[in-house]
Amino acid sequence: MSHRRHDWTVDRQLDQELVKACRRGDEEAWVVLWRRYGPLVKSVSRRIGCDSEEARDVLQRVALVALEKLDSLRDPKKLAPWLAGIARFQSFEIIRERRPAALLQEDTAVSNPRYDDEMVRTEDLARLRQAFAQLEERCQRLLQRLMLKEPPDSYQDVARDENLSATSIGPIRLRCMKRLGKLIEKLSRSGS
Amino acid sequence: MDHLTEAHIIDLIEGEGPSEAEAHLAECSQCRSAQRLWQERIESLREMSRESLDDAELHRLRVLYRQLGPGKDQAPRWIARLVRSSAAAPAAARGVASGEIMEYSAGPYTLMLRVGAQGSRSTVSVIGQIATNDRDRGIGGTFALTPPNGRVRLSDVDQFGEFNLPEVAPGSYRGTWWFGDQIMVVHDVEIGTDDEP
Repeated sequence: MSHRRHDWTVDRQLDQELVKACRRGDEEAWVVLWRRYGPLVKSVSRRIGCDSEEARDVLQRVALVALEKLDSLRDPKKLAPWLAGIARFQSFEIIRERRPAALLQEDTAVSNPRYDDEMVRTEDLARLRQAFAQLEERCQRLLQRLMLKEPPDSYQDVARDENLSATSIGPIRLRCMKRLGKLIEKLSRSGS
Repeated sequence: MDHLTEAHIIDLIEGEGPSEAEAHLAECSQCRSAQRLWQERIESLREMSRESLDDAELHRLRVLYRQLGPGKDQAPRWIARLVRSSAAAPAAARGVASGEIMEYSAGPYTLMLRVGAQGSRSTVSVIGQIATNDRDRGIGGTFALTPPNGRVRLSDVDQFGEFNLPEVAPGSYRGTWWFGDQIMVVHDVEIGTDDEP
């Protein structure tokens, strides 16, 4: 089996639709959900101190918990912070199980002081990912290619593929960034 | 100079800003904090981009969903059955008291669960081992105990098949072992304490 990495961006199905589809047994929706939020889960885990192997284990654990508890998620719009919260908890649990000395206190995750600090950062990260998923598809594609890809694609290549003039790429990129900022603010206000 | 626009700030982050904007930034804390915010956002998105899932990860998640998801046409999975208990009564009819051993069988695997005493009276530890005689099959993965309502408890299963779940509250659970494409499910795991009648 190849180990091609999947484009984690460029899909706009609403979280609530994804959750509904997963609940009724739609396997493809489940895959879309993880393509979208798997990187968020792994990032949360890496920030807390898990190595790449542990982050993969956290992903599996979070998926298992999500599968077991998806029906209990009352507000599917809060899928991203919900998954990020499970990831945070499971990351601390894995570190506690495998490398207890890595934590300042050999306590459960919930009573560890770092847990509270990470909560805020995890919520920010979840909101950012959620906002990105709500951008128009073209914005997602553009930002992915111009700002996230390492190294980024050239304006000329992007312009050609998008059927745009090269001079319009800069202003469109800026509009997309502003839109992202507004979506983040909106999600912050709504408490997601 | 007025405060920098978002356009200037984003250009600066990308190394494309004019020199006047850079000079303003050096003197203006408000613009610096706006720049920091955008820098963090972009770096966080890059970080997530680097953590994109590969085929193997998505395949494992797909298998998990096929096995445990709500679909009606699920692939077959091993449902473990109780083959031995150190207590006389059937498992579903009583709580598993501290020290008792339950042995389950599913496909080529056996699962042993033992409930150990815990410091606190209200919880116990569940110690388990998964074994197989089939040398072609590996051992590892994750074991989960899922209550009908409440927090799912998970533990790594080591290369010897052993796992340990501390601080498990008494109650009725579903046990799930997951290792690559292999999944074993144990229904009606009743966890009790010595205090129960």
